[in-house]
Amino acid sequence: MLRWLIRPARALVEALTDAGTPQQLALGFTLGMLVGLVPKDNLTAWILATLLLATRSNLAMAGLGAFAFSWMGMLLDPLSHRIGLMLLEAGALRPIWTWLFQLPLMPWTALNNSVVLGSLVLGIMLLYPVYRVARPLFAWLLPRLTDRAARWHIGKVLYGADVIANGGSQ
Amino acid sequence: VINWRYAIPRLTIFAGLLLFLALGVDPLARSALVAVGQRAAESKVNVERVSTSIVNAQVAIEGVSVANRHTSQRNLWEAQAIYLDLDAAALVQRRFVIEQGIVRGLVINGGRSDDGHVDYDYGIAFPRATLGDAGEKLLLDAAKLLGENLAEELESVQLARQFAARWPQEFRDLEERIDHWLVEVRQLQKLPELLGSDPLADVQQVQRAALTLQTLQEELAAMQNDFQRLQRLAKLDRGQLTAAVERDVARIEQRLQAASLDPQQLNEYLLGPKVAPRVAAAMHWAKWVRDHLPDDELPEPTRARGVDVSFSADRQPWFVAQLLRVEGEVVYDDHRYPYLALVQGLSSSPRTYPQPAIFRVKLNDPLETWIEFIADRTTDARRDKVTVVCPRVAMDEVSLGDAQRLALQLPPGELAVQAIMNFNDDTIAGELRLYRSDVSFALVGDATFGGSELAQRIERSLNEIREIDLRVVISGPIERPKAHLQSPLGHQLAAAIEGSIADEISLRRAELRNKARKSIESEIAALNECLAIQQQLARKKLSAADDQHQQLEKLIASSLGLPKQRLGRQLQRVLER
Repeated sequence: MLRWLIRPARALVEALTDAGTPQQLALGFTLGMLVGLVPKDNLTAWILATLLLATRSNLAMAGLGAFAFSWMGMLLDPLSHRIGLMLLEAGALRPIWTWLFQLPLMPWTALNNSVVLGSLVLGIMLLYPVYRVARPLFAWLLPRLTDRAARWHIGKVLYGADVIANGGSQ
Repeated sequence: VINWRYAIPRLTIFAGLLLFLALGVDPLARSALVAVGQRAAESKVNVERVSTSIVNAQVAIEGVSVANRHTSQRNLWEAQAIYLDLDAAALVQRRFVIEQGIVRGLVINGGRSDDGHVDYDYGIAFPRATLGDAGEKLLLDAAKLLGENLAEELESVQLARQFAARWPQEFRDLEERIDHWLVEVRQLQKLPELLGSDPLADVQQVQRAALTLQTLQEELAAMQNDFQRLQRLAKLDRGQLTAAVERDVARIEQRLQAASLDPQQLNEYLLGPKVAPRVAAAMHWAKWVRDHLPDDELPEPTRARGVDVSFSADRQPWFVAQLLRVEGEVVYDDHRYPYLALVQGLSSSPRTYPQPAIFRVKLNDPLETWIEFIADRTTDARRDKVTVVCPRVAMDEVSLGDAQRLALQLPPGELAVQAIMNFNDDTIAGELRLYRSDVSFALVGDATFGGSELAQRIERSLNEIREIDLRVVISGPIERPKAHLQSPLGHQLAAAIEGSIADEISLRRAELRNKARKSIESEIAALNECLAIQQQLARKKLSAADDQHQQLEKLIASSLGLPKQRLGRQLQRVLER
């Protein structure tokens, strides 16, 4: 019984702390950045979050990226607003927007908001550069992070508890 | 094979998100509702709880109160619970269309701690006092006129009586003078007896007699002059009397002219007090609803960041209440009156929504009232139509005049009231109609005032009035509209009262004129008779005096041994000696 309770928790912690590959770490951080930039009170943010969860990326880095860029996104609001407004007011795009916003659920995406659209476009534009910068950085950081995670107190506790639950077989 | 190391954290996070969605939507919706409400009402909005069912597209809102932005101590409205069925198709378009909803315990204008009395001053008042004075004056004047004895006040009668008292006195004085003159003559007739042997004494006696005779002659001439003067005066007095008679007749005619009643004032007097507050109250509530209805766009819930750009060619309002059933109370003069209401076509964008908002309200207490308010904001002009129907409005007894003397009374009953008012921006044009079918006017008062005949005459005329049908035409600016009453009642009443009074007065006038003429004529006849007798008496006495005078002259002439013709000269000579 105890094993049933502890094993999923241990797996979750391992998954969150599992460093994986530098690519996974960089992808997690980059997608987290995208989610973080976009305001959260709309369907777009939720779709991005779902997409993030669907990828094989590092969730801890995604959370870190989302957290960091949520704050940065507010600072970038003037820029996002200008980009979004420029796109929304572009005459050539107007038929597309009009058609798009007649579709069901589209109004909930808030893409007719200058900051939402601007931050999304800004985030997409930053995806590749951020990924390119993050990947070598995480390749350098990964061994150090793994060592440190192995020494984290919660990991030890969960590992020890799992051993006890299995009757000391491990 | 499931890679649990990959799936578990993602499923966990996803479950967490779903849990947040399940538990967090209601508080989020509550916050959004408060924010939107406060922006729309520009005052504090409280919402206790919001329960949503995304699957069924239903929302339940409990404990809603919207403060009155003008008076923080009052709530504009508050509701115990609101249950809404939303249109799911519109919801995916981020539009909140209430297909039908129920609002329970909606209290309008409630929650105050100060004095709840509202003074509806729209300048709608009908001058009851003025009309009351006029109406009462008419009835009381008529009563007084018909009850008093005018004959006693006639100038000709007074004059005739005055002459009747004066003339006998004048003639009695003349008669007394004649009688006195005759006594003197009789004294003088005794002269022959006084003449004797002493010539000196006789001469003195004759001298005295001559003097007395001369005086008597002069007195006789004076009395004859006075008699003629009295005859002339009598003729003059008769002329005065005739003029007074004419004046009296004219005065009677003038005083018995029937006064007239203004039918319009009569309407206002009888029905104004009932009508004016109802017009003002209807105006007040219509204005209240207008003031609190959004004229333009109800602000869409917008994000704090960025700008929302609209792309819809045929833009739909983000909020529409197609049908709302409301059960609640309205607070009026510190009393709460329950009502039922239906709201249709309420939208966040009245100019783009194709139909006006319609409010239908039914109140049972304190009186059955049906109200329909149509707020048309589909054009630039604010056009509203208010229809109020009260089928049974209690009407108190109305009295015109003084019940102690002569008064017109309309017993209590029930009125049907209907008001239709059209508001166009800041002007109003409408009509208020009052109808009562069981009308039966009664005339009360003392029979001595006007008499039972007048009462019967008026009552017969009043019996023909069986209904009240009053229209109040209201027009002008909303803040100071003009109200004008139109009803055949005033004309009917005025015709009945004036006609009856005029008929009675006409009858009385003829009677009084005859009576006055008889009275005058009898007085004048008595005076003439008195004058004739007195004149006859005076004339006889004067004639007798003249005879006595002749005899006296003869007597004195014979006493002196002279012919009568020489008596004058002889007497003159005697006197000269």
